[in-house]
Amino acid sequence: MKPEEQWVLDAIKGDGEAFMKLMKLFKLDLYKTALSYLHNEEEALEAIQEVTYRAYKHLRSMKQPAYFKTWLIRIMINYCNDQLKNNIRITVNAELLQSYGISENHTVMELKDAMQGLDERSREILTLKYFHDLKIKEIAQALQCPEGTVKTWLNKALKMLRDRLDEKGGSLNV
Amino acid sequence: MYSKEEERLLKLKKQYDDVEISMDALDEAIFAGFQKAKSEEKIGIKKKRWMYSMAVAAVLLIGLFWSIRFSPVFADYMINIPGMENIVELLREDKGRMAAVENKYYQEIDVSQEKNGLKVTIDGAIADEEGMVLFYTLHSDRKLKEATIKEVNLKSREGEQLKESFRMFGEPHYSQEGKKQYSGEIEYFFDKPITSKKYEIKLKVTGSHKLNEDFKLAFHLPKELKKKKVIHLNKMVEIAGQKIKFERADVYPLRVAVKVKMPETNTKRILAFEDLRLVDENGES
Repeated sequence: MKPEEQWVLDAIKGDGEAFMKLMKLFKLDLYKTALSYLHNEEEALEAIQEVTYRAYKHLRSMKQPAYFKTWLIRIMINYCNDQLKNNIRITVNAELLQSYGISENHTVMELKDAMQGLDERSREILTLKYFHDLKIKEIAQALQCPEGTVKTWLNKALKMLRDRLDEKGGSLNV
Repeated sequence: MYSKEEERLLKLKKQYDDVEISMDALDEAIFAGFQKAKSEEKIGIKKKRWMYSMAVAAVLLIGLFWSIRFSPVFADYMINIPGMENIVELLREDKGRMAAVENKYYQEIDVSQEKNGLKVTIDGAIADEEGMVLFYTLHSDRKLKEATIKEVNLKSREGEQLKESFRMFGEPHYSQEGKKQYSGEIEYFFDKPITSKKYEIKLKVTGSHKLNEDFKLAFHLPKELKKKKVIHLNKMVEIAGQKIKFERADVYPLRVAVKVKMPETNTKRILAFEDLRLVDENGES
């Protein structure tokens, strides 16, 4: 058993310290997820606060300690989706891009845009698969569905992403 | 198949990986969320504790009422605690008598006499060969803080000698604010079975406002006096080597008499029955 799995067990039993250790262990994963959805540092931090709160409250409903990370990320994705529904005004503006400390090129912006246009499930799958390096099996466990279904969804998501990118007439057209 | 897209996605991920972020800010956010959950948890625990104590209090209260209602011993004990009398009175009712009323042994009499603004009414009775319970009501023009029935005397109007063995006519009625109406019972039990249907009752009512009036009411019982029902038991019970034979039970609307016999072969003599009670099939006395 990995040490973090023991922490998860301790946290479920009510050990606040173990819970904090876990949150700190996965904070970057959470932050990046939040950022990829919300494109705003301030909102991402707020998301982390809210996800910590939700995770602690629902700790007892978590069934498999081995998938604690996926479970956390899913809480984050749900939260982000709720947020996006509440304020549809998310557009990437130049100022924020600079605050990321990276110079974003055209294709990246295009991709972000395309990701935003996807439905919730497709986006979730892509996020889990490519941003968090999760295996199909892990995603299947997290979403509680067969691996075949995840594969289908993933293909569909990728296809939709391609279609969206093609629409934009990007230079990467095959 | 979608290698191009995958590649681009991974590139994007890399960008997020490279994002500079203050770890302190993240830790702070985590801490804030944790604190929020913690504080709510505390409130939840407090609420739960409060609910528990409420539930326990409710159970105790129900238990108390239940005990008073079904255990005369406990009720007698409670009555000694100041302030409990009223509650006990409310809860405690004679189940057997209630059953007698329900089984139509109650007969309506409704005879009254009025004197100086005080009316005494005999509302009704439950009567059998061995006993009689009269229900009365006092109506007054003025509010009475106290009223007591005294010197009750029941006589047959058919010349029959009533050999009373037991007579009881309620405690003094008392009310802090004063009441215009009081109700109570007069109980009689006789040694010799009675046959008369016409009676005369004399009584005195005393109370506040120097109340002191004698009343004389004649009444007759409209229904037949209920005869006893004899149930032959003939059951032998052995306790600690001593035998007790339950011969029969005489069931009256108001009372049940159980005849028991101890064989002479017993090595010990039974001096007294304590905690005597009649229990029905549901275990209620």
